[in-house]
Amino acid sequence: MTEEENILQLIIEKESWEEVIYNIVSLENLDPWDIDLVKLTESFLSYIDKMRELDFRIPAKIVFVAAVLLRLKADYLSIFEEESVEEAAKEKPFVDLGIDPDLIQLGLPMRRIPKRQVTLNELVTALKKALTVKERRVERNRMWRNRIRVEIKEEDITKRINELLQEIDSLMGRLKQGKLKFKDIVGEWNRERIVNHFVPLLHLEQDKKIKTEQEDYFKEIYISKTKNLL
Amino acid sequence: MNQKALLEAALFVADKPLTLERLSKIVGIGSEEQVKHLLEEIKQELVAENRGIELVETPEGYELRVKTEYRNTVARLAPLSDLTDGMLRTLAIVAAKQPVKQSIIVHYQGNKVYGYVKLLEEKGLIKTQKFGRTKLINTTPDFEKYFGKSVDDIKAMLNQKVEKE
Repeated sequence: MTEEENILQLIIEKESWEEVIYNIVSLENLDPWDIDLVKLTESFLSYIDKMRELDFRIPAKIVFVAAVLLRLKADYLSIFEEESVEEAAKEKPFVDLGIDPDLIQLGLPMRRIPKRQVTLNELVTALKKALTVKERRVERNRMWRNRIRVEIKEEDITKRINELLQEIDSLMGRLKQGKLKFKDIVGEWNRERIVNHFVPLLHLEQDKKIKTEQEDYFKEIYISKTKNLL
Repeated sequence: MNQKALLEAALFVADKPLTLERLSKIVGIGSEEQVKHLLEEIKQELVAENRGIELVETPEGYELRVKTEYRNTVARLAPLSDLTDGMLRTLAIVAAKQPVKQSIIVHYQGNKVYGYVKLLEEKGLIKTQKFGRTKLINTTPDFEKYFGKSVDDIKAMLNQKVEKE
């Protein structure tokens, strides 16, 4: 494939600028570890020229990449020019250039980052800010408390435990049974009543006033009195 | 090399207080006592010549400071201060309400106060003591030296200016 055919293929396949560069490196046999900037830039610019010739739209990114490559090429070429100028200068003695060879080398001035102490006025302003922040925090907390209004009834758990024990006694007496089912004590099976009975029940078992049995998880709980309370 | 001048240069260019140990390394003098003597000379020279700056010894080390009477005038020339906004607000609350519980300041400013209290204590501007599950905080004599006024005057000024608004 000729160079022109390669460029046409790139245009037709609408490659991105990265792929254009990869293709150029591959087609021109450039060393990827040591890219010849001059050759790369020239090939890239040929690609853009061809696009213009064929009246294709040139994406802005392609133009930008071309500009970058040109800049890199210019910098690269200018290094060789500077080196030749330096070498020429080295050969001239200092005196001819009007430079005193004993001149002390100048260093950069030392810059410090000044940090000062705060003033009393700033302390006063800070206190006012602190009070404002505090008021805002208090107001924010009050707003949140109003939004999340939770009514919690306070209750003496000891009283509840004793009441449950009396309920158990009373029910055992009426039914003439030594063992009761948990659902019999709860009565109306709703969440609130279950919790209100279950929690003191656990306390009663903890205090060894009753004994509870359950065959398996989520099965019925059987309640009986312990020997010392019988 | 002039060792006293070198100390002065180091103190001038540093952006934070320098310890005696650090200064003696800079000057290359093994004896901290000797360095202390030189620092005292610098301090007295600044006092005697009635200069705008002074050499101060703080818990963090030695530093050159603008004298309090000139601070307000030159403050705007240096936008950076040695206390952050959070530290300054915490210090202001302590100065106005002392002795004050740390938990109260946390109520004012939030949890970041724990960090600010630690830094202010390192700077020697406040002192803390255990008080139940919290700490009781007061300002220190270094706080008075920092502002060039007694703590009672500062406290009265703070409370008066805030009440006015």
